[in-house]
Amino acid sequence: MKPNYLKLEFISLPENQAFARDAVAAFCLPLNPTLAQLNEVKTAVSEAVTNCVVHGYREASGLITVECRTDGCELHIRISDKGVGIADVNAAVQPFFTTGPEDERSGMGFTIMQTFMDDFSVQSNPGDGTLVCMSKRFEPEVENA
Amino acid sequence: MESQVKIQGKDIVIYLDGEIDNLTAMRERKRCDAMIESNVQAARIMFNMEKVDFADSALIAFLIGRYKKAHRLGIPVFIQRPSYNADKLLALSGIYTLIPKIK
Repeated sequence: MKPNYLKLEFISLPENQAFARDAVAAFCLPLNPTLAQLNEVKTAVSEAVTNCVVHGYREASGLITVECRTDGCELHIRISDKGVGIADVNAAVQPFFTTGPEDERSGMGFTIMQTFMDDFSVQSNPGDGTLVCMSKRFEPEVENA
Repeated sequence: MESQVKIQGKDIVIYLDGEIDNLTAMRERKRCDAMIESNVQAARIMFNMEKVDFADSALIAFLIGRYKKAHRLGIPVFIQRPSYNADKLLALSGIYTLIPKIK
Protein backbone atom coordinates (compact mmCIF):
# COMPACT_ATOMS: atom_id res chain seq x y z
CA MET A 1 0.00 0.00 0.00
CA LYS A 2 1.31 3.44 -0.92
CA PRO A 3 2.07 5.77 1.98
CA ASN A 4 -0.65 8.32 2.53
CA TYR A 5 -0.71 11.68 4.30
CA LEU A 6 -3.40 13.96 5.69
CA LYS A 7 -3.13 17.39 7.29
CA LEU A 8 -6.02 19.17 8.97
CA GLU A 9 -5.87 22.63 10.49
CA PHE A 10 -8.86 24.05 12.31
CA ILE A 11 -9.86 26.56 14.97
CA SER A 12 -10.03 25.35 18.57
CA LEU A 13 -13.80 25.11 18.73
CA PRO A 14 -15.31 22.17 20.67
CA GLU A 15 -17.54 21.58 17.64
CA ASN A 16 -14.44 20.49 15.67
CA GLN A 17 -13.62 17.56 17.97
CA ALA A 18 -16.09 15.23 16.26
CA PHE A 19 -14.95 16.39 12.82
CA ALA A 20 -11.28 15.67 13.65
CA ARG A 21 -11.83 12.16 15.05
CA ASP A 22 -14.15 11.19 12.20
CA ALA A 23 -11.69 12.46 9.60
CA VAL A 24 -8.82 10.46 11.12
CA ALA A 25 -11.03 7.36 11.34
CA ALA A 26 -11.92 7.71 7.66
CA PHE A 27 -8.24 8.19 6.77
CA CYS A 28 -7.18 4.93 8.45
CA LEU A 29 -9.92 2.77 6.91
CA PRO A 30 -7.62 1.48 4.11
CA LEU A 31 -5.46 -0.09 6.87
CA ASN A 32 -8.35 -2.49 7.50
CA PRO A 33 -8.89 -1.76 11.22
CA THR A 34 -11.40 -3.72 13.25
CA LEU A 35 -14.33 -1.73 14.64
CA ALA A 36 -12.71 -1.88 18.08
CA GLN A 37 -9.41 -0.52 16.70
CA LEU A 38 -11.23 2.22 14.80
CA ASN A 39 -12.98 3.26 17.99
CA GLU A 40 -9.68 3.30 19.88
CA VAL A 41 -8.15 5.64 17.27
CA LYS A 42 -11.22 7.90 17.38
CA THR A 43 -11.12 8.05 21.17
CA ALA A 44 -7.39 8.82 21.31
CA VAL A 45 -7.78 11.61 18.72
CA SER A 46 -10.78 13.01 20.56
CA GLU A 47 -8.77 13.14 23.80
CA ALA A 48 -5.81 14.88 22.18
CA VAL A 49 -7.96 17.46 20.36
CA THR A 50 -10.01 18.10 23.52
CA ASN A 51 -6.76 18.80 25.40
CA CYS A 52 -5.82 21.40 22.77
CA VAL A 53 -9.23 23.08 23.05
CA VAL A 54 -9.68 22.91 26.81
CA HIS A 55 -6.13 23.13 28.16
CA GLY A 56 -3.97 24.42 25.30
CA TYR A 57 -6.04 27.44 24.37
CA ARG A 58 -8.40 27.62 27.36
CA GLU A 59 -10.72 30.57 26.68
CA ALA A 60 -8.64 31.80 23.73
CA SER A 61 -8.94 30.79 20.10
CA GLY A 62 -6.07 29.20 18.19
CA LEU A 63 -5.20 26.69 15.51
CA ILE A 64 -5.00 22.94 16.04
CA THR A 65 -3.08 20.81 13.55
CA VAL A 66 -3.76 17.12 13.01
CA GLU A 67 -1.37 15.22 10.75
CA CYS A 68 -1.75 11.55 9.84
CA ARG A 69 0.59 9.34 7.89
CA THR A 70 0.34 5.71 6.93
CA ASP A 71 3.46 3.60 6.61
CA GLY A 72 2.75 0.01 5.66
CA CYS A 73 0.34 -1.26 8.30
CA GLU A 74 1.05 1.61 10.69
CA LEU A 75 -0.84 4.81 11.34
CA HIS A 76 1.11 7.76 12.74
CA ILE A 77 -0.74 10.76 14.17
CA ARG A 78 0.62 14.14 15.29
CA ILE A 79 -1.72 16.57 17.03
CA SER A 80 -0.39 19.97 18.00
CA ASP A 81 -1.40 23.37 19.28
CA LYS A 82 0.41 26.64 19.93
CA GLY A 83 -1.27 27.19 23.28
CA VAL A 84 0.01 27.58 26.82
CA GLY A 85 1.90 24.29 26.93
CA ILE A 86 2.39 21.93 29.86
CA ALA A 87 4.74 22.81 32.72
CA ASP A 88 5.25 19.23 33.94
CA VAL A 89 4.58 16.59 31.27
CA ASN A 90 5.48 13.68 33.58
CA ALA A 91 2.82 14.77 36.07
CA ALA A 92 0.26 15.51 33.35
CA VAL A 93 0.38 11.98 31.91
CA GLN A 94 -0.42 10.38 35.27
CA PRO A 95 -3.94 8.95 35.61
CA PHE A 96 -6.48 11.35 37.17
CA PHE A 97 -4.13 14.34 36.86
CA THR A 98 -6.09 17.51 36.23
CA THR A 99 -5.20 21.19 36.38
CA GLY A 100 -8.75 22.18 37.25
CA PRO A 101 -10.17 19.93 39.97
CA GLU A 102 -13.13 22.29 40.31
CA ASP A 103 -13.97 21.71 36.64
CA GLU A 104 -15.71 18.51 35.64
CA ARG A 105 -12.66 16.66 34.22
CA SER A 106 -11.66 13.03 34.64
CA GLY A 107 -7.90 13.48 34.22
CA MET A 108 -7.88 10.30 32.13
CA GLY A 109 -7.17 11.77 28.68
CA PHE A 110 -3.46 10.90 28.40
CA THR A 111 -4.03 7.50 30.04
CA ILE A 112 -6.64 6.67 27.41
CA MET A 113 -4.32 7.76 24.58
CA GLN A 114 -1.51 5.60 26.00
CA THR A 115 -3.78 2.59 26.45
CA PHE A 116 -5.58 2.73 23.13
CA MET A 117 -2.53 3.44 20.93
CA ASP A 118 0.68 1.39 20.52
CA ASP A 119 3.12 4.31 20.76
CA PHE A 120 2.56 7.61 22.50
CA SER A 121 4.64 10.67 23.38
CA VAL A 122 4.09 14.27 24.48
CA GLN A 123 6.41 17.19 23.86
CA SER A 124 5.60 20.51 25.47
CA ASN A 125 7.12 23.67 26.85
CA PRO A 126 5.22 26.39 28.66
CA GLY A 127 4.30 29.07 26.13
CA ASP A 128 5.32 26.96 23.13
CA GLY A 129 2.30 24.68 22.81
CA THR A 130 2.05 20.91 22.87
CA LEU A 131 2.68 18.11 20.40
CA VAL A 132 1.19 14.65 20.89
CA CYS A 133 2.50 11.81 18.71
CA MET A 134 0.68 8.48 18.57
CA SER A 135 0.99 5.37 16.42
CA LYS A 136 -1.05 2.24 15.93
CA ARG A 137 -0.22 -0.95 14.04
CA PHE A 138 -2.86 -2.95 12.21
CA GLU A 139 -2.80 -6.51 10.98
CA PRO A 140 -1.82 -6.73 7.31
CA GLU A 141 -4.65 -7.83 5.05
CA VAL A 142 -4.14 -11.46 3.99
CA GLU A 143 -4.40 -11.99 0.26
CA ASN A 144 -6.02 -15.19 -0.95
CA ALA A 145 -3.77 -17.34 -3.11
CA MET B 1 -26.09 13.06 22.64
CA GLU B 2 -29.57 13.95 23.80
CA SER B 3 -30.55 12.15 26.95
CA GLN B 4 -34.04 10.84 27.50
CA VAL B 5 -35.26 10.55 31.07
CA LYS B 6 -37.93 8.16 32.26
CA ILE B 7 -39.33 7.60 35.71
CA GLN B 8 -39.79 3.87 36.24
CA GLY B 9 -41.45 3.24 39.58
CA LYS B 10 -39.14 4.82 42.13
CA ASP B 11 -36.15 4.87 39.74
CA ILE B 12 -34.90 7.57 37.40
CA VAL B 13 -33.54 6.04 34.19
CA ILE B 14 -31.41 8.39 32.08
CA TYR B 15 -30.92 7.07 28.56
CA LEU B 16 -27.71 8.39 26.97
CA ASP B 17 -27.19 7.92 23.25
CA GLY B 18 -25.05 8.94 20.28
CA GLU B 19 -21.62 10.50 20.76
CA ILE B 20 -20.45 11.69 24.17
CA ASP B 21 -17.54 14.10 24.18
CA ASN B 22 -16.63 17.34 25.94
CA LEU B 23 -19.16 19.35 23.92
CA THR B 24 -22.15 17.04 24.17
CA ALA B 25 -21.55 16.20 27.85
CA MET B 26 -21.44 19.90 28.67
CA ARG B 27 -24.85 20.38 27.02
CA GLU B 28 -26.45 17.56 29.01
CA ARG B 29 -25.12 18.31 32.49
CA LYS B 30 -27.68 20.93 33.48
CA ARG B 31 -30.61 18.91 32.15
CA CYS B 32 -29.61 15.77 34.05
CA ASP B 33 -28.86 17.72 37.22
CA ALA B 34 -32.25 19.42 37.06
CA MET B 35 -33.92 16.03 36.68
CA ILE B 36 -32.05 14.64 39.70
CA GLU B 37 -32.84 17.71 41.82
CA SER B 38 -36.53 17.51 41.00
CA ASN B 39 -36.68 13.83 41.97
CA VAL B 40 -34.81 13.74 45.28
CA GLN B 41 -37.12 10.98 46.52
CA ALA B 42 -35.88 8.58 43.81
CA ALA B 43 -34.72 5.14 44.99
CA ARG B 44 -32.03 4.81 42.30
CA ILE B 45 -30.59 6.64 39.31
CA MET B 46 -29.61 4.48 36.36
CA PHE B 47 -27.64 5.61 33.33
CA ASN B 48 -28.61 3.40 30.41
CA MET B 49 -25.89 3.43 27.72
CA GLU B 50 -26.83 0.75 25.26
CA LYS B 51 -27.17 3.36 22.49
CA VAL B 52 -23.90 5.19 23.12
CA ASP B 53 -21.97 4.94 19.83
CA PHE B 54 -18.87 6.82 20.92
CA ALA B 55 -17.51 8.13 24.21
CA ASP B 56 -14.27 9.68 25.39
CA SER B 57 -13.17 10.67 28.90
CA ALA B 58 -15.92 13.31 29.00
CA LEU B 59 -18.30 10.44 29.77
CA ILE B 60 -16.26 9.49 32.86
CA ALA B 61 -16.29 13.09 34.09
CA PHE B 62 -20.01 13.41 33.32
CA LEU B 63 -20.86 10.30 35.35
CA ILE B 64 -18.66 11.29 38.29
CA GLY B 65 -20.28 14.74 38.33
CA ARG B 66 -23.81 13.28 38.44
CA TYR B 67 -22.67 10.66 40.98
CA LYS B 68 -21.45 13.39 43.34
CA LYS B 69 -24.77 15.21 43.09
CA ALA B 70 -26.81 12.04 43.67
CA HIS B 71 -24.52 10.94 46.50
CA ARG B 72 -25.14 14.23 48.34
CA LEU B 73 -28.87 13.50 48.06
CA GLY B 74 -28.40 9.91 49.24
CA ILE B 75 -29.45 8.35 45.93
CA PRO B 76 -27.42 5.36 44.66
CA VAL B 77 -26.32 5.48 41.01
CA PHE B 78 -25.87 2.59 38.57
CA ILE B 79 -24.72 2.07 35.00
CA GLN B 80 -27.02 -0.05 32.87
CA ARG B 81 -26.17 -1.90 29.66
CA PRO B 82 -23.13 0.08 28.46
CA SER B 83 -22.32 -0.34 24.77
CA TYR B 84 -19.05 -2.11 23.89
CA ASN B 85 -17.24 1.20 23.32
CA ALA B 86 -18.55 2.82 26.50
CA ASP B 87 -17.87 -0.29 28.57
CA LYS B 88 -14.25 -0.51 27.43
CA LEU B 89 -13.62 3.10 28.43
CA LEU B 90 -15.46 2.86 31.75
CA ALA B 91 -13.69 -0.38 32.71
CA LEU B 92 -10.32 1.29 32.02
CA SER B 93 -11.24 4.21 34.29
CA GLY B 94 -12.18 1.99 37.23
CA ILE B 95 -15.49 3.83 37.62
CA TYR B 96 -17.41 0.59 38.21
CA THR B 97 -16.06 0.50 41.77
CA LEU B 98 -17.89 3.79 42.34
CA ILE B 99 -20.91 3.33 40.07
CA PRO B 100 -21.70 -0.38 39.73
CA LYS B 101 -22.85 -1.90 36.45
CA ILE B 102 -26.22 -3.62 36.55
CA LYS B 103 -28.29 -5.44 33.93
